Amino acid sequence: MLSRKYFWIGITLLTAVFLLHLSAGNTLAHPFPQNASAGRNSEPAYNRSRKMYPDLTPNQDPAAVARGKKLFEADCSFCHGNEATGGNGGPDLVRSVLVNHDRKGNLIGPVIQGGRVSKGMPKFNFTSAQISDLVAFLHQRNRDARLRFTYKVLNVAVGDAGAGKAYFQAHCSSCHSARGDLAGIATKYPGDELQQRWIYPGPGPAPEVTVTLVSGQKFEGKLIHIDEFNVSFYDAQGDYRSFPLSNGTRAEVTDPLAAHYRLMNQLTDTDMHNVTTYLESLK
Amino acid sequence: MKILETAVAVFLLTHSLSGQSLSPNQILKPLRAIWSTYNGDYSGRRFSQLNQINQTNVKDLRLAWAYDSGSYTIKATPLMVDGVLYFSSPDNAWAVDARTGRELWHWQTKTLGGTHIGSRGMGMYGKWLFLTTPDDYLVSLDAATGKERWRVVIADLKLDFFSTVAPVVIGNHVLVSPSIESTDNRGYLDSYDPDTGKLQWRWYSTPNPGQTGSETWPNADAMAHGGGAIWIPGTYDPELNLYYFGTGNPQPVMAGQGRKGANLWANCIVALNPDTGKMAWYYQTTPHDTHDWDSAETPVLFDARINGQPRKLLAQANRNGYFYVLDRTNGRHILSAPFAYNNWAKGLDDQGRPIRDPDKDPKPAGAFVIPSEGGGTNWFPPSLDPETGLFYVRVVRSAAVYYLTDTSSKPEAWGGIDKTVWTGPSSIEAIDPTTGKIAWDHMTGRGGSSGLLSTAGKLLFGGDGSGNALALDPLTGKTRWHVNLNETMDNGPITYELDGRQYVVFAAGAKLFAFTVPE
Repeated sequence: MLSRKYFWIGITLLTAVFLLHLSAGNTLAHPFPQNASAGRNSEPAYNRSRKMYPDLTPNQDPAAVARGKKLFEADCSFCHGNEATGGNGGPDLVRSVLVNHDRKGNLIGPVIQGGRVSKGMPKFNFTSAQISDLVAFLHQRNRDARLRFTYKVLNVAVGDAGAGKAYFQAHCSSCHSARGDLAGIATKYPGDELQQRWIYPGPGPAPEVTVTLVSGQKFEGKLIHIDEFNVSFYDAQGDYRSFPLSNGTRAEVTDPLAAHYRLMNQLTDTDMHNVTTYLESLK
Repeated sequence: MKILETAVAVFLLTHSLSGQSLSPNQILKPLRAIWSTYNGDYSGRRFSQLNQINQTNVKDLRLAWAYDSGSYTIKATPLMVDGVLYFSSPDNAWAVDARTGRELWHWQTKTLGGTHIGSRGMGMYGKWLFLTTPDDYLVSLDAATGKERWRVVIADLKLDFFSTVAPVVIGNHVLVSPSIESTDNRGYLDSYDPDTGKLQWRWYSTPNPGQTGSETWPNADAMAHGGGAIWIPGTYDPELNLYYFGTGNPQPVMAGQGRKGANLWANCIVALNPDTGKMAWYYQTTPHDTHDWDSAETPVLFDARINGQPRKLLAQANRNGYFYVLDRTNGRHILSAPFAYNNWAKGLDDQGRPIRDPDKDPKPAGAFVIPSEGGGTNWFPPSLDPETGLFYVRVVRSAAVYYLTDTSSKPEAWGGIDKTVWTGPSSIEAIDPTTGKIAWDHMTGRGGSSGLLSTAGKLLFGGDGSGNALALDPLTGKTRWHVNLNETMDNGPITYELDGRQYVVFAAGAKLFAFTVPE
């Protein structure tokens, strides 16, 4: 159980009050988010760095997609499935080479009109407007499957609200209250976002830092940045201060989210569902 | 090896060796003056025999030059051959004087699209350079001028393939592989002729119906669209004539209900013969992956004694949080050990593979999983120092809720998504590869994705999450030197020797910084 032991060593180092002393051998750094812009729920950096996809089919006209879906369900789904992912003999059209290479029906249209008789697909006498609606539906299906950041999370309130309330009272109520700071919380966020936020709310208020020089002189403020070598913060006057973490200078950081960190390390999926369901009831 | 020797002999007869040139047998030498592949040499160790920069004088390291490419964050590991550095970013390639940082040429291409996530660098054969582009070309450039010789299409952009990998040159083979973004495709590794760009062979990451391995898929359709993209350049043992690489996740990524089974050869470490493309062995690091763990990380080759016996080994610190050591002659499992905390596995089976906890598969209402899909480590190049005997890896920490968003029996693409709720500090960790035990762990703050480099100067180079370039004591992890370059370090540092002087080059953001010690 090396992993668990190692993890708990990590937690001991990372929780609540954290000492950084750069005297011989200490090589630890700061546990808290140091870059507020890289908060939770933001798109991952690797995704932000992506350029557009000039090759990706654009969004289709929603009315055409809706009409195409109806047509597809009526006349195509028996073989290709309701979601165009293949069914009774018909291939999956979301990952289809032909559909992916199609532009505005130039490849799909002839297949619909001419059929693929040798493969068991009959001709269909759709009008050109109907074909264009079917094409819109297929392209939108493909685009929606590709862009995972557009995926919709399903219902997250599947737990026991009563058990969630009990958990809340035991673990959360020393800082939060359903009638106080969390009143109406369910109206502020969609369920999945509420779930993610209560587990760990992301960059919250700036951690407090106390810097002690080797002379014993102390400085306090709101942390801006800390690494193995330097610390910086705004002091009570709002002035920017920074110190090298050498020559015995120590920085002590207090994480306002330490309780969430502890909670996260004990969280079961059952508790997660129960508390989410309870919080979803706070309309 | 006969074929390789013949290829080298033919090569030497047909190529002039004046100017910047790299013969395939130069790559076979241990890493020293030049840096001739993505990993410096074929071993993947990123250990240099250079020791002019060492623990005694590292405090005197000073900037020799800096170069701003003005483009994307550099994720390439540069090559250094005959005094010139060659590196790439998506749609771009450069040659820079390794002594002065002066730009010699800059090649650029107009893109047709594709995910612009990064370019891991170039391969070199004689006077020719090779790189891949996001829109799925393998491009060959003239190293002297940066002029394009030819390009070939290696994958179908319209099917959502894109390319990041640095080509690996082995004999007269240029090995490349496309990546898969979302659409359910089948991964593959290609070998191209360095002179003509002609396809020599293709190896698919999933079996054909009836082939061994097909029993790990429910049907032919799932198998033919089963993923297993090969993201990272592999390593090579010239004596065994085996090329080693990792395959990525199965498709659909997070919804496993349409692909019940172990899903070979996704999430595998694979050994194959580079002359024929025939697989020699495989080892699956995560059967039936539903978290996007891949098995893409560099398989590092080394020799060590296990139970008193000298063994030819391969080590990989996998994104799934486990460290694996295999016998590289036959793929037999030697050891597995966790190097990063996880809550998705219930332990290891008798083959050292993690036992997936089905409760931690993505669920419609969410499953709380440590770590996020970013994993316990990722593509960051590791290092293995044969003098300390330690394996070095960048570890990252996170937690996420994984949602299954497509509950149908035939999901598509991702079929789910993970939402990161917490991103913790990264660290540089040292692992004893003969035991799997963690020797030390140097915390490097939030973020941090630099690769690592160890040297005979008893130094381990890397970066932290705050833009600091670091030199650590490889035995203890203690800091010996640092300088703040103030930008993300997203590639592997390199070292080389010119005019009897050793240089260390870091990339930070879109810039290169070269350091040396005073004469």
